[in-house]
Amino acid sequence: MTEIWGERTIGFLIFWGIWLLIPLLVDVSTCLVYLINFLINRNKKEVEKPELTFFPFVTLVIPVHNSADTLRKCLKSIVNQTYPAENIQIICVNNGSEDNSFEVFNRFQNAHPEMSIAWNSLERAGKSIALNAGLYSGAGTYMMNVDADTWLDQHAIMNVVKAFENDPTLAAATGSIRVDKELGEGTSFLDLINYCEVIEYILAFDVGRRYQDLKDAVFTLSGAFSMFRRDIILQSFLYQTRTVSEDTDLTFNIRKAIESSGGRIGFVADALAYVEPIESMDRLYSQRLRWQRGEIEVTGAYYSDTPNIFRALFDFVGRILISDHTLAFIRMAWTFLLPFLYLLGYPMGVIILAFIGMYVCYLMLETISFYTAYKGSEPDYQKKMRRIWWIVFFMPLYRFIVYWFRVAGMVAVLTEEKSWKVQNPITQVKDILFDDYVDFVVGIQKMQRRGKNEQ
Amino acid sequence: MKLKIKQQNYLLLGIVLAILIIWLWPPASIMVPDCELDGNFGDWRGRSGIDDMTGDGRSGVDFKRVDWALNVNDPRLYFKIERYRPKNPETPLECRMFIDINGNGRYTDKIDKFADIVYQPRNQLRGDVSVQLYNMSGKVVGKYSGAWGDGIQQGGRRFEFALSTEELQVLPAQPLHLYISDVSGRFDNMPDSSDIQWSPFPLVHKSKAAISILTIFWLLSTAFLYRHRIWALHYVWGSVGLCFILILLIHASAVEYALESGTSLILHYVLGYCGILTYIFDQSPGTMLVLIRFDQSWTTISVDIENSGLIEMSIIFCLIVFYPVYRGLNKIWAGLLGVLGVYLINLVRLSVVIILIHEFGRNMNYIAHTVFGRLVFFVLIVALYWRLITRPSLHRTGRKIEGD
Repeated sequence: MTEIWGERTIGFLIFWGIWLLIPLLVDVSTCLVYLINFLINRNKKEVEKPELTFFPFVTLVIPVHNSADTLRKCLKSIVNQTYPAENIQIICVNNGSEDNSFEVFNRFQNAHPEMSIAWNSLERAGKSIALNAGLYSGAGTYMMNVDADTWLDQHAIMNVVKAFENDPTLAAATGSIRVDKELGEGTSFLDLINYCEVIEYILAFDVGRRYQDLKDAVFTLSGAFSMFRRDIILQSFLYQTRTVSEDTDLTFNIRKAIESSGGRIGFVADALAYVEPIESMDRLYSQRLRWQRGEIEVTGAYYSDTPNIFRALFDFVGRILISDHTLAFIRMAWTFLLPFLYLLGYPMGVIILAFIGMYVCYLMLETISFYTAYKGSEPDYQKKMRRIWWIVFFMPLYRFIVYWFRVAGMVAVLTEEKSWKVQNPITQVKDILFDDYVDFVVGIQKMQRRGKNEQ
Repeated sequence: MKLKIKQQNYLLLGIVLAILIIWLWPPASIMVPDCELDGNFGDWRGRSGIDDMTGDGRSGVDFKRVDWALNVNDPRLYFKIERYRPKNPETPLECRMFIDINGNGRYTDKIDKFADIVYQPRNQLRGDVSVQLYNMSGKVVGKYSGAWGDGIQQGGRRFEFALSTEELQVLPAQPLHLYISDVSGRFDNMPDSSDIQWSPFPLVHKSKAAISILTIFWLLSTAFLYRHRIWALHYVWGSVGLCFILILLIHASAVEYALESGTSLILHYVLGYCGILTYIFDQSPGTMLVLIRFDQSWTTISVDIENSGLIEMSIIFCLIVFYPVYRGLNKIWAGLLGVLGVYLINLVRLSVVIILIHEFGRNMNYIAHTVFGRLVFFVLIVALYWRLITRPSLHRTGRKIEGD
């Protein structure tokens, strides 16, 4: 009988589970391609770029919006750069801060008279407008944007300039973003989410972007830390407010502009920047919803003629959309329908076993992901990563949660006006039910009072 | 829930309509009446079965035909065996049905079973049937008996019986192989060569009351999410909930039977046109016999819940109807286009499966069904989803942004 159960479970898993397994296979194959590419090209990367004999002027634009808590750390990381301080211009562009960001800036400016650091203030909030204002007023040969909650590795600017100086075709590039989280210290739910973020970022940047760089298929110049040649960025439409992903929009814009000139958008792997781990599930929800929404908005605007499936398959953007959007709908329905098949006559045991099998498949993917991220890290960081090897067991759940946040983004892009801050639907329902409950209790109390008065 | 009067009226109308649809939904029995073990064989007319040639067994054990069937909400496999009219209608028939439970072509595995069947025409009107089901170590695992056969008056030819899937240890959609022989095994086998392959999937239909309650709850909660503009949950809850309800309603109903009959009929004609011989039955919706090219034997494939495309059609319809890229009546048209698309894709998938079985034999069944057919299906479905969901989303979003 065991044989029958095994055979039926495998049959069920392959037959019905295919709707969930194929999206998994897409992820696995992407991860494997990244890994193989990384292992093949690892040695090439290590070829030292020639030292700079001339240090061009660089401008760093930092949009500031209620960033008092992180701005100092960001500015400090710029002061500590190995790149000569006299060749760095910092422009902080305040866009509607209501906290004491300016005081933080002011103290810092007084403490570092050797730095060229300016404060521009805009009346209204808006990251895109702030970035554009900074880019217009910058004087650097290379323009960089750094988020106020991001801090740079001490060699970051030097490595960026080296990359641009040694590659005249490089028009714009993104740095490697890491999540600054101490690994293995905590085990709260949020800590686990943060560890998954760490792995996810390493995979996306140190491995994924490296591959995209080779294929000239960088999808997004990260808003946290990106750099441009001055002439290129000023000839583009700059950061636009039409989508919630102004960084992806700009990336597509630049790619279109430099297509004919043979320029390219790249990735500077040794230009490291660090961001704070996500502070709450609400923030994670609004971040992922925004990313997904931005992806559809930008690609929607990018295609003047939306391609059919065959054209989409031969276009890297189309392939990303098939994986992120088309398969997501199939996956959504089947996540619920697989257990539902019990009601149609399948034995519950087979369904439970199939789900266990599915978890094992996802575990395999996460193990490959973790291993790929591990190989993509420096030896020092690998030691830290070894402390959280067990996170692979949690990563399928993280992937699952993030998937649902993305689904919300797919719906929001068609139903909601764009906004950076959104309330998650569970909280919305809770709030409404709570309001209804309060109305109900107040109604009952009124009736009781009326009853007493009548007595 | 704070709804405006107009919205309340729509909701009420929706509930009334839904309940009416559920209670008036045509049951499977209007297309195919259930088989009953009663010694009457009218309910076997048009059922799936295989004929056996005449004169290859001695009188009394010369098999003519075996039929098989399933009932709704009944976990038993029904069989009808018929022999050529014996010289003496009182002649008893002792035969044995061998069942290869794990479908590997061997009949001697531990899990395999055999049933000893004795049919004895008792009087003018009725014949007794007794069946003992054994496992391979010779232990009886099930006993069934009743007046389920022809009497002497009808020539002592036919009898029916049913075996429990639980005692057989059969799970839904598990491919079985079986054949019948006279008890000595020397005279006649049915079929004469090879065996019958069958993947029974007992039809389970939920009660209308349960579906009604589920529907009312789903309608109220979806209206709540709509009223409060909680769009992400509205979409997921609305589309998945409607899909559950649709599948529960359609499964094991006349609509599923009609769908399966229609599918097998189209395949029969289209493949026949291409020179691939199939056989279909009036009263066994979706059951097809496919002729295997190299040994000219028949094997069965079932267009059932697993490959009728019913679930996939319901899914695409619901995903589109609730998808905010479509507005008004376009939702319905696009949903129906999706259903038609899945139906056609499913025909392609089934054709691939049948062609593979026709060319490479019954051993190909599992791989053709689970792997090749499924892959073809998946790829084409992704293309359809791209066309009906992703592409319009990009188009509308892009147009909106350009408009901004």
